[in-house]
Amino acid sequence: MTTLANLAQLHSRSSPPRRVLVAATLSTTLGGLAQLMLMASLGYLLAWSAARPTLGVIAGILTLVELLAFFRAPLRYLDRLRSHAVAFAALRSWRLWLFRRLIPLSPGGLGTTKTGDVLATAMSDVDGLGDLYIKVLLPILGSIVPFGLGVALIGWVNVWAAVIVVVVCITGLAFIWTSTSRGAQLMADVASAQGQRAGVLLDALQGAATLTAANGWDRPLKQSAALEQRVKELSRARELQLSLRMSVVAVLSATVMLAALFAVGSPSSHLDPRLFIALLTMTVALSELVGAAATALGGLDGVLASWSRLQTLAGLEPATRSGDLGLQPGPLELQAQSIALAYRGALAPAFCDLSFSLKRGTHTVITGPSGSGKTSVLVGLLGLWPLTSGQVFVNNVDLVDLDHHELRGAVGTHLAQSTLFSGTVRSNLEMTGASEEQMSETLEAVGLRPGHEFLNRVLFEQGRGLSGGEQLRVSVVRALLGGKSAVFIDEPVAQLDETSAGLVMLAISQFAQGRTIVTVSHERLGHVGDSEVRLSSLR
Amino acid sequence: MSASGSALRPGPLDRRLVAMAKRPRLAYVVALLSCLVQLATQVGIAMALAHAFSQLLASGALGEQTSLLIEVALLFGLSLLAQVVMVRALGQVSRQAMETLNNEVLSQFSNGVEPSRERAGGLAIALTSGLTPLEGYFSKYLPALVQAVLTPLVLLTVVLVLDPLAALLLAIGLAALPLITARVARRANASAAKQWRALYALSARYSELLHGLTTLRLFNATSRAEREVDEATTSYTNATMAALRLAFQSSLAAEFTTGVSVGLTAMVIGFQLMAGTVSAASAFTILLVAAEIYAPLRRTSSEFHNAASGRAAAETLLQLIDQEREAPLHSITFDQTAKTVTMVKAAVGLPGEATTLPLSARLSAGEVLVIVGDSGTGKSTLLGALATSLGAAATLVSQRVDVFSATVAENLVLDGRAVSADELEAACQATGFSAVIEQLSHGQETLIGDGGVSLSAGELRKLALTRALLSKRPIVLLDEPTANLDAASVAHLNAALPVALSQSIVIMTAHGRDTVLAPTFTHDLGGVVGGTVDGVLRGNIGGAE
Repeated sequence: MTTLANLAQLHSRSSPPRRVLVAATLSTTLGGLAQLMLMASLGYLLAWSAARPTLGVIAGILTLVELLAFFRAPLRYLDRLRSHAVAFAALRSWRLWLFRRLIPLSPGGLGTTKTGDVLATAMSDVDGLGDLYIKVLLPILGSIVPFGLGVALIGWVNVWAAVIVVVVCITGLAFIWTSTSRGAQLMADVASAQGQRAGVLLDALQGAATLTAANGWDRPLKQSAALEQRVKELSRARELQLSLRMSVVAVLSATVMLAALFAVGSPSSHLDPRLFIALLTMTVALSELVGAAATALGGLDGVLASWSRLQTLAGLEPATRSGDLGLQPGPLELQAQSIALAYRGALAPAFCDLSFSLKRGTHTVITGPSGSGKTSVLVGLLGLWPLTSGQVFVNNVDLVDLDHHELRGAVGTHLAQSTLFSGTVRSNLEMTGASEEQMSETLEAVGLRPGHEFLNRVLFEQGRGLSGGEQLRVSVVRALLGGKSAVFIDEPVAQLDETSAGLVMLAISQFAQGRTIVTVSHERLGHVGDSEVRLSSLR
Repeated sequence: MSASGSALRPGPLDRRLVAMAKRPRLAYVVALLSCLVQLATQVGIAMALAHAFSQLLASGALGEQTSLLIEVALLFGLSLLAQVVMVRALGQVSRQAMETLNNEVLSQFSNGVEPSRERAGGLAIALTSGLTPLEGYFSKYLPALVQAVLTPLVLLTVVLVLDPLAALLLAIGLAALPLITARVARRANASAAKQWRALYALSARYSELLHGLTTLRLFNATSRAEREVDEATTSYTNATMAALRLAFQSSLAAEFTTGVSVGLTAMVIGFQLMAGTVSAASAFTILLVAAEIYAPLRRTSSEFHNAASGRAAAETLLQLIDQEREAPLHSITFDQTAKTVTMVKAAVGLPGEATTLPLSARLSAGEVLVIVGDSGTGKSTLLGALATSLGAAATLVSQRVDVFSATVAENLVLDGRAVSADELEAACQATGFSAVIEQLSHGQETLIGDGGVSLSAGELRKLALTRALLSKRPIVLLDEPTANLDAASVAHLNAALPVALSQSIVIMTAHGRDTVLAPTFTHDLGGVVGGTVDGVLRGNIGGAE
């Protein structure tokens, strides 16, 4: 019963407030009961009025029916509102949970999964989970009591009719239940094709200008069209399955109605014909109820599909695990002993057999030709990716045992893959916790305009809105702010003119005074730095 | 997402959306027929049941029931079949429509409309799952709309024949229902648009944060990002709940109207039964079909709400389809035959600033214009504008190298032209990219970009230069081609690029005076934005050299 186990896990993780869940179940149940009673009263009224046309009785019963109708509509309103509130509460926690699981996967831990695919999972698959409450759980929970009552009433007239109803319903529901795993597979395939399409599209959209200029839209468009074709084929298969299911549901509801007819018509019953008719009309509602419950059960496969996609993503193992030893306050000292690092799936290591030490209050320059793994050294030192061999000691504690969160808190970093976020320059610098004066001061030091105007500059995704050189400098400033014990800066001047480059290097040495500084550069700029670690090309 | 101008007109039927389904006629005819069959079976079942009821009331027991059972079962089966046929026919229509919409949007991009400042994550979601609710627009809303017209007509006629007074009452309720729901529907559209905007913003933010996860980890800023995700999710949830509340209110109102109307009808029939002016069989038939008269109209309203967010997503995409290509600057022209580029005071606005950089020049093959200036003086903006204006005549190597999730070879030749192995090899040699390829696990077939091997900044620069050489375009625009490159690589380029680009018109930027190509002309943008405003070059217009 993996399906049940999955559902239990899903429910326990989303843990919607019990009070809300109970309230939602209650109003669904009441809605179903009201519907049954409404139909029964309607039938009774008609039979009565036909047999004994007394004005008072008719008026009384009509009022009752009207009241039920009025009662039922707001109940349904509340029930729908409640079930959605339950679902959305769960969705919110799901989206956050997924985001938290994704954080340690960067960089590189996502393997071959494309960002757009992850995005599609975070958006539509998470949304799909909400159906667990809206479309599946609450409708089924809410129909149990009304169904029981309806069957009991039929059984009161004719036990065999009730038995038939129950047996047919169980068979039909069992059929739907057994077909959920195939349905879930189909829907997961559709979602996966859609996710891959989102991956292709996002990738293309982010380089839209380049593609347009190079006439390069053909390839992503063809890929997207092929995936769309796949979605189409899968949807067709899914539709066939749904048609089959719809037929089963319809046969179920029809059988319930016919069984009731059978009960009424059987010669063994000696009930008042008015009650017969009341029961008969009630079975219309009952068969609707059964149909709705069956449809609800059919909604399970969508939920299971979403859950399987989410599990796949959340099941990815982060590349590194942080230790739990704290970091002593004060300046950082690092010793690297013949360290090497290789990325997942790469043939050659990014760098290997590297030993150096970073002393407090010194500026070390890591140099080497393009592709020699300079950036990867910083990645390894910060615990973003595990070392394949060798050891790093930070203040004499092995990096493996160290709390990486604390380590990164002590280091101001600019990496090649560092990005600015949409918002303002200020909102990008705020994550360092620095004051506005400090921001302005540092911005001015690297040759950017200080003051409110620049801090309020609006940035678009990935820092668009500033020139390349400005983005780089803002990112460097972000690394310098916040009074960190160490500063690691990757290629601080690669895209800058000489004046700006000079200013940036000066700013680094000025602001990082007394701290441990590492800069990475493809060439040593003049005599910057106290010592040099030189990498040779490995690739 | 621009809020100005609505691509869809309000109303029950969006002609533009419906027109997206290209070959729908057969499917529509089939759907319409199925709808009629369903109607007929409904009336049949109601009449059969009513007959049985009245018989039961008259005699106290059912007579021969086998034929009744068979009749009801057959009608039910027929109705079911019609339903299945309709779902399948309309499923095809909806898929066709979504495909058309997708293709039109995507072909806009290949036609040169840039999703400027459109946030990529939001757009990717709009093109995939954002449109999913729109499926219901075709497969559920449209048939409900047709049924909402047909069903009341047919069923009211049946009732009219049986009892005119009941028909009148039902007709009044029927007229009131759209009046009530239309008011809500208007507000619902605005609400769904708001909901969609929230989803769009959430997707864009989520995608941006995914891209910046490493940065967030470096600054221990993940809790802040979590808060942002939470806030965006909350505002999406609130917007969705607001839209749903409206939808539910609309069905609440519809249910009340239906309830009152059916109740009144029942009462009137009751009195008539009492007075003996209507037969029991007729009375039952009317009661059984009464609720059905309203059902399609109510379904129309609820399906309208269900599809509303998909409709809002489609509206975003339609606006993109309506967006026109940015007009090229007429002051920049390329003469195909003479192979010369002419710029007459090409003025470019910087984002967020009103400053313009006028520049005039005439360049022919083999000439190199170098634009120098400090960081932030607008060099890249100028090159970007030149690239847009020159279109397919030019290729641009920008500072930010876009690499796509594909093989190295596919990334080198983005337009998928057949490029001979020699040509590829020569270009890779010239830029020094061949050394990079050699060290990749699968050579040219290695997957790079999102989900593949990541290249360093210097390696990306070489890839972009190779891409430019392979494009064989007459004009090559280079934005700081040697940034991020080590001395050996720069030396290699110094030797190889002048040969490789000897027949091209090159416009490049540099922040120093050291450039990989010997400049024919130099234009200094100076150290201050717009500093040398009057930078008219040697090689002026009109051949005044």
